[in-house]
Amino acid sequence: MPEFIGWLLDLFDDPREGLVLYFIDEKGARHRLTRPFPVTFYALGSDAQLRALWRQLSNRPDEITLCRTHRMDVFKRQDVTVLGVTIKNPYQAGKIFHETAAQFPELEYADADLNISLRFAAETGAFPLCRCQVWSDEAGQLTHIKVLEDAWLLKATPIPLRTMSLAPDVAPHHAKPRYLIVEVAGEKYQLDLHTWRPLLINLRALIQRHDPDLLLTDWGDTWLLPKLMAQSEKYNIPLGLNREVGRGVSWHEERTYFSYGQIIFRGQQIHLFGRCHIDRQNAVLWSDYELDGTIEVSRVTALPLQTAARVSPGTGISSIEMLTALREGILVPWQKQQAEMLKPAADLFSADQGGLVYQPKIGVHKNVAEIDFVSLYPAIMVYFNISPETILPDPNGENLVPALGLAIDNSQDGLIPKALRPLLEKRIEMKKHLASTPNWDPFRKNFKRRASALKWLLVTCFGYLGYKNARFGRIEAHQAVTAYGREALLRAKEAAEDMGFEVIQLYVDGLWVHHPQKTRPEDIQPLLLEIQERTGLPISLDGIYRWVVFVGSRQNKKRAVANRYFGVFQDGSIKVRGIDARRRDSTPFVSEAQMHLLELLASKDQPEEALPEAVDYLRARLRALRSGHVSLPDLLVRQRLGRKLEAYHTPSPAARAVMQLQAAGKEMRPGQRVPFIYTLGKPGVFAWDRPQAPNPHAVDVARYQRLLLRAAGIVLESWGLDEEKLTERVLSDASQLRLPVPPKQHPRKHRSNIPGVVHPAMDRPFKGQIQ
Amino acid sequence: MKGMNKQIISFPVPKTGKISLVVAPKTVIHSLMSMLAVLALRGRVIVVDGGNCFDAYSLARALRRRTHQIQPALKAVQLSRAFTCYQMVAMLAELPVDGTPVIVLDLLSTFLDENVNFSKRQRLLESSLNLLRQISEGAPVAAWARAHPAAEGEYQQLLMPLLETAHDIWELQAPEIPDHQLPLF
Repeated sequence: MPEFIGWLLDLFDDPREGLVLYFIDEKGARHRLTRPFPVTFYALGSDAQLRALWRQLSNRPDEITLCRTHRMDVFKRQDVTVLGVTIKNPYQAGKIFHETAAQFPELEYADADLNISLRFAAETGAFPLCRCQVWSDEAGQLTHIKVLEDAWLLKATPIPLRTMSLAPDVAPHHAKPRYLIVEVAGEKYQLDLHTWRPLLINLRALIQRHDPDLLLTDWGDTWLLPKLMAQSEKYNIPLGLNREVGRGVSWHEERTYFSYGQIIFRGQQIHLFGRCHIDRQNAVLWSDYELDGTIEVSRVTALPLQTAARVSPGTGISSIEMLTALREGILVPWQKQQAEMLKPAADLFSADQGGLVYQPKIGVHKNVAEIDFVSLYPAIMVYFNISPETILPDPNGENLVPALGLAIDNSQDGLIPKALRPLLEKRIEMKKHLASTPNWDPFRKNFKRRASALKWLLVTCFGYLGYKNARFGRIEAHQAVTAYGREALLRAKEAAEDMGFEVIQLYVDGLWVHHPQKTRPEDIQPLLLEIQERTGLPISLDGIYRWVVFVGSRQNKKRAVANRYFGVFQDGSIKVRGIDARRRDSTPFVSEAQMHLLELLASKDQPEEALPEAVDYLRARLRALRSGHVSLPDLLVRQRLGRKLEAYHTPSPAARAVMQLQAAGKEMRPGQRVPFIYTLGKPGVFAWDRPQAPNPHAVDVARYQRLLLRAAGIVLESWGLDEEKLTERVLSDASQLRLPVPPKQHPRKHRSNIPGVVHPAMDRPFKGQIQ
Repeated sequence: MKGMNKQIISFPVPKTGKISLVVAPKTVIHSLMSMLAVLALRGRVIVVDGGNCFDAYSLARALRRRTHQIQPALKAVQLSRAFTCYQMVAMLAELPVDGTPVIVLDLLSTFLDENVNFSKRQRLLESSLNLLRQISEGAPVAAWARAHPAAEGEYQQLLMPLLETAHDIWELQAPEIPDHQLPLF
């Protein structure tokens, strides 16, 4: 009986063979194995309804077996009678289920639309990319699989993935690419996109020679692979993108959705069989955690690598919960029916609240310790056993939720805590490990990326508890988490004040405290222990700031904003939140300048000593701006299109840029980010992805100057140089060309006040520009 | 009733045996809270909220205009929110049939969810309306359907059966907004 040790690369259902699995052998070979894999969904309803369904399905004995059984319904907190419908070939399961649901719409269904990799992981314990020992028979059928390294292991054996990278030489939505850059096995090839036949022949040869496990592309989902496949068909040169012979690629439609108040766009997807495809431009959080983090997500969620790369962390959390439910024999509802409990309107005032925020004291604060609860909301869910089935509407019960008329049933572990506990423990272990790993350690980056992937999963798990489409979500559980969170933060505040600290700010899961004599990390330890004692939740010291500045709102400088601050830790590292240097929609020209100013301030013992240098730096940046020495990409603003164009009454700059793209035949969807430059005249923007090149002389210099001085003012105003004073001081240099202060007049009139800077030709449209 | 603005409209309280329907923009919520205040001062009321739009502060203000003892009245209002059309049906099916008045806010909102097949949504709406008919036989029922400025196909198709089910209908329109900003001077 053949046997090997390796990694499970991919698995999918197949019309003939049931389940197909691809493995990477640690000795270098690749194996394709198959296995029959019947799958079961359940129907719930009255006896009469289930009998009718039984009669309907029992005439398909070759495909389906039926059984009456009992399964746990987490929302009803008891076993319920169900009709189990087992389909012999998983490839047929989706079709049979949807036919059934259409014919019997009044029934409830469970375990109906689950990813096959979750079912396989629940049955065998083997998950995508796990290291495992595999046994098969001579016919290539998988007979046994044993997991050697589980998903919660801190250091897993690296997978010897063979990767091929494919990318056009330029972003296709910006300009027409001329070359396809192929990188594989340390070699780089440049294939001419104007001569398709040789390109296809060469690419096919490279794929055949290297047989990559992973195709890592740029714009592969939305441009490159569709293009390659169309040309491959035209020239009748099959590329062999799939390893699995005889299967076409799998297309997934583009979509736009809301997430945390933002509109998000995801382009169409192309998945392969037997080989993985990840489009770096369409992958979720790729810039944050890259391939290492994506592999981590795939392992802990048991989703195939290509799926894990493209789903939101919320879907990842949902998969972990569903996998736990499958393992525990709990029904996974197809459509959740349970609604909110009836509650008095008066309770809404106390229940429907978020995290606790204590407005900071505006200005500079020295020797401030920042203390954070470690993954507060997931920790609350795990340590206080919060789950849809453990929340009881019992104001007189034991384990009452603070300030809500709800109690927690601690007689058994809830589904959600069971699902989250290993994830939380791994994250905490990883954080500890990272803290003790020196910067030169080659595995540090890998750890950081994996830790980031886990962090995103944990960040999302709380929101998912209240999400309407979450299979195991429940609004009361969501409210209980925030209630415990507020209570924990209040207790932490009281502990700090009892120990003589001044509380500078509280923000949901963290507090900023100051004590004139306690300025070293070891001085803070007793406070951490006290808070841990009073709350029962893990807490850690994020660091001690040499100084930290809480800034006011843009509209009213005297009004504190909870999450808008910057500071320098004792080790010299800088932390920034809510200002231009951190915002994704600010231009590199502005955000880099703001960060440079912060570094200047951080480099001095007394930050005010850096002011003359800061002013000189700003003058130099403005000189560069006016003389055209700032590159246009550094002036790019990337704003998200918030809605469809026709929904704008007054088009935003991003909407105006999209109008230009639309006129040039380029489509943008709500949720996509639009890069543009501010220009003079109407419409005031130039979309970066227009076919024409932008006119560097048309850049709205005065606007960028305003943005720069405003960003600089935010950083420097605590040392006496607010935007107004800074503008005066920076522009007062006699050797400088004077630019006007921020306009209080129409931009056109304002522009005419800039002597010698704006050429009159700028009022005219660009060559070939559609107005 | 044209030209509705933010003023409070006094709707007659619903009666047993009838379904009262208000089709109006979201500004009507203050008027509905005012009607709810009247009902809450008489006894228990159930509010089913399909659009997460229950305005507790508006209700508190409406109560305060009528009594100094608003806590008992706030407790008399029993609220539950539905976030999906499946939840809406489940919630209506579970309501106690004991004569307690029922007010359904933004009834169609959950049925406009494009993630659910349209024919399925139509079937679920039909189930919801059947349940409302049953409830109305023993208790007063009022429902509000949010009017959409550019009412499109799906919305119209969902609104029609609701209009057919209701006995009393108030259709209110938002004041027309001129296409262009009027000159200030």
